[in-house]
Amino acid sequence: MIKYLIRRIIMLIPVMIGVSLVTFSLIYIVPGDAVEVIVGERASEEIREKAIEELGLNKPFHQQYLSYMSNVLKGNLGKSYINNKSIKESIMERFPITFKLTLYSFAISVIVGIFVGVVSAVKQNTVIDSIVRGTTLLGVSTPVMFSSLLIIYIFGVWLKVMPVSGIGDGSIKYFLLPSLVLGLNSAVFTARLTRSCMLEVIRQDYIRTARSKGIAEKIVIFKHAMRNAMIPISTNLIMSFGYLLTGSVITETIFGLPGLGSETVRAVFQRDIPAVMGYFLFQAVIFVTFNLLVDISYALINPRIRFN
Amino acid sequence: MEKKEEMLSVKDLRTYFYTHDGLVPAVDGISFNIKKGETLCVVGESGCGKSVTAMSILKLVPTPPGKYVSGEILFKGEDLLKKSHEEMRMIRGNDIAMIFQEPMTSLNPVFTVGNQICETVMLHQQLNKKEAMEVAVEMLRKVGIPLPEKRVREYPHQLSGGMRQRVMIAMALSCNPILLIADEPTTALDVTIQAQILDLMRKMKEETGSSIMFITHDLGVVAEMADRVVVMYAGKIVEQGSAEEIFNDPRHPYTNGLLKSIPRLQGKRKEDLHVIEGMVPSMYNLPKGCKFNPRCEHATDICKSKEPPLIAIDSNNEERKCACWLLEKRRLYK
Amino acid sequence: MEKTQLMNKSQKKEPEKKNKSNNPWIIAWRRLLRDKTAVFGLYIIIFLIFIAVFAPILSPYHPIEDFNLSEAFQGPSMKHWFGTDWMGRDILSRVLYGSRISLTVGLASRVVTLSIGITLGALAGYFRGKVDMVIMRLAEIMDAFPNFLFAIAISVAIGPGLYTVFFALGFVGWSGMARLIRGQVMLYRESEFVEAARSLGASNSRIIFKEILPNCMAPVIISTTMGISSAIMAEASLSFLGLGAQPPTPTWGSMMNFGRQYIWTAPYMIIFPGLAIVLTVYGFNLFGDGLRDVLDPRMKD
Repeated sequence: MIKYLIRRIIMLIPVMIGVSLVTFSLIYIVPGDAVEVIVGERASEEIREKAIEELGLNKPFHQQYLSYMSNVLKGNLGKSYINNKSIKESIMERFPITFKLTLYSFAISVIVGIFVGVVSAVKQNTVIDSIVRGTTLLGVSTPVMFSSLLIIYIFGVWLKVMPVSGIGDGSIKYFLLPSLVLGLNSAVFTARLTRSCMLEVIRQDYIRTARSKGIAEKIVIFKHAMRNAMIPISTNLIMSFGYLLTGSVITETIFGLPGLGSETVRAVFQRDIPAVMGYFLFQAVIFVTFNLLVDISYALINPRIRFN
Repeated sequence: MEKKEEMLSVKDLRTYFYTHDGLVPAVDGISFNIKKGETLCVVGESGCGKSVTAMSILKLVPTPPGKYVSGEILFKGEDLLKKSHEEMRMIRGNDIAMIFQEPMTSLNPVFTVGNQICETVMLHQQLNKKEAMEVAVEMLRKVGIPLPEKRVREYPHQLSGGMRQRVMIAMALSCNPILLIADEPTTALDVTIQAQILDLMRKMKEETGSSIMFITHDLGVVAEMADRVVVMYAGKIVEQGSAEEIFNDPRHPYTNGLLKSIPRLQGKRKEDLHVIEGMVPSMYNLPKGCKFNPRCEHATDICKSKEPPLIAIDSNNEERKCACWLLEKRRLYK
Repeated sequence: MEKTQLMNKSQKKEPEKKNKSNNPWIIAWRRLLRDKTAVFGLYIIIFLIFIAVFAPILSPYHPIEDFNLSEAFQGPSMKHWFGTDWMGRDILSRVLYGSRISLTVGLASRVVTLSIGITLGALAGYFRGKVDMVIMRLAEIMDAFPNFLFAIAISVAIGPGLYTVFFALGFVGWSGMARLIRGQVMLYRESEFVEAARSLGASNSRIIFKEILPNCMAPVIISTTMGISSAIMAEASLSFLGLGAQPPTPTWGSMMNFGRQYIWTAPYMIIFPGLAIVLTVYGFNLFGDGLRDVLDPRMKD
């Protein structure tokens, strides 16, 4: 198990190098002169030259990449072209907001999704099941910006009980609506997954065995079936947490939450190259970490792997 | 023959499935009984309704699409089909236990085998976890699993197929059931392991005195185990009698065919192994008349139009029955 | 009784179609047509294709040229069923034209995914060894990026626009497709019919394209149908962020983006394009679900 873990982590090194290379190349070919962003369009040729020199933008690709990466490894992600702020600080400041939003959304997704999925599976082919299937499929088909805007309209115009935009003092009420939207958006996926996993498990032979032992149906479902279904469900949930962490771009933008997602969009539009680079790398690292967590958790919950 | 007490008696049981593609009369009006301490073998090709019969006794047929259309299943004088879910639960695993065909998939992969045995014991015998664990260890020892104290903490995937089937037997017998239903318990196992499991089941039966309903398609297994035999074909019983009667004096052409298709070491090797021609009919679209008529070499007009009733064919023994028009004819000519 | 009669009838028809009915694709298609929800999804897709093709005829106004600032922000009326936007353009017409972008993106991005995914997947699965290792490492790097973020990165790198969207959304899916194909190719490359073809001296490319790939179409079709709906969704999101087809091209995502500023006074600017996205994605999802049930026996309930 520990060997497996170590091997898995070592395998991440080439992947991370690849990730940084790909990100760096993408940024490298950004159209429009990066220097313009710093010195302005009307800057004199002299000033431009100087800026290019200072930033090392005249060096060949591999040198730029290597110097950037050695800085990254030292924990230095550089400074924003726009406001001269340390990228690392920006991340530390904004990531907690994204994390909070993700955490709340995830809680909603897990609670609602698993409950609805299990009910739907247990009541397979009934009216409840049809309603759940119809609604979740509709939910899966609804883009998060549409549901966000609808919620904003409903709460902003009709039910004026909740702030619909901004972070205010950072208290939980500012997170409620965005978490609800993002959480329900993710819950429909969780519900569909839970349903199909449960249906798959319920028709297994060992469920029949459990029933033949005289065990109450509730225990058959919640102990025997759930424990097995939770293996694929929980690994998927961990992955969905990773997706939420890196995928709240639109929700943050619409609800005006100053998290890492909306900050990335800002950086992208202002061609704030070091910021874009830093944010992308950071989010890729998070994503890879969650990929790793999925593998580890899978090994941990599944006795078949745990003992081999 | 001494008269034994009837322990389970199935009367005119009909279990149908209502599927998208049509009606499947999986079990279509069968009657039989199992006496105390005897082993009844139910024989037939796959899809003949023998497993559904077993599942019906425990009321484990999924409904819908299944439905118990008619009949009664008398167990200790009470009709199981009339029992509530709760009452059935108290019978399952306690009075009537079941062993399934696939030992590889019939145990829950995420619980230890000890846990799974304990669960039954704690439920039906009101023991605490520690006492139940002792019972589990004892049961594993009884079914011949070495180092039961260690095995009890292992997960199913750590055991071989034969070991798992022993665990299933230990689990089924842990509450001293009156009736053990074994649905092809040895089919998925190697021949040597098969013999061991059959031995074990016989031994356990002698020790506990429980009755066994043994479902199989393998007549070799029947010869080893059966006191009495019921032969099923397409949801119906076509012949029943004691093991001797079935093996020495088969009356139904289907039983005859089954017996002839057992390979034998003695006798002429050159002789081709007998094969029953044709296929098991689709349950969606059963032939008219005798269900076996398309595959029967003796089929006559009446076989194709009218279904033969299951009738007693030995005036001395009311439990010797067969459903075939040939018998009728023979009797007429006699 | 009725059911058996029906079955008899259909059996009587069998002989005419006998030569066809052995084809698994035709059997699957018939089963699909029996699935009401899948058929409903298919109707939605056909309806949308119809709209996309005949948008110029169906639209009461031109989506770009017919602007009239004096008619801006009109709610739904007989003259403008879906109302007008901030430039006084007819929202209905823009929504109808928007279907063209969504459907083309859905299809074009799948073409990109399929061509990269099938090529690399087949190479990896067929030749294995070093080729396989390199391709799979690349796929791992690819998987290390959150898809949507990567699509944004590509859009930024090559500049926003419709063709960028085709490529960005097609490119992010290649690793999944390649894995799928690789698995299937590995499954079939040792099979008897491939051995037979090899013994007859068929070339590698012939074996891959004529013998192996046709046998792994079922999972590819399922994943492609599902991929269309997620690509349409992702296109809307990119457009919403301003990284899709650039104005004044009518896309549902960008319409919602511009509508966002006027949400309090003109919610219809958001609602209609939003509903259009939901309908489209819903149609493909319904159809995809049905396809999966029919083509993938393992997934059947």
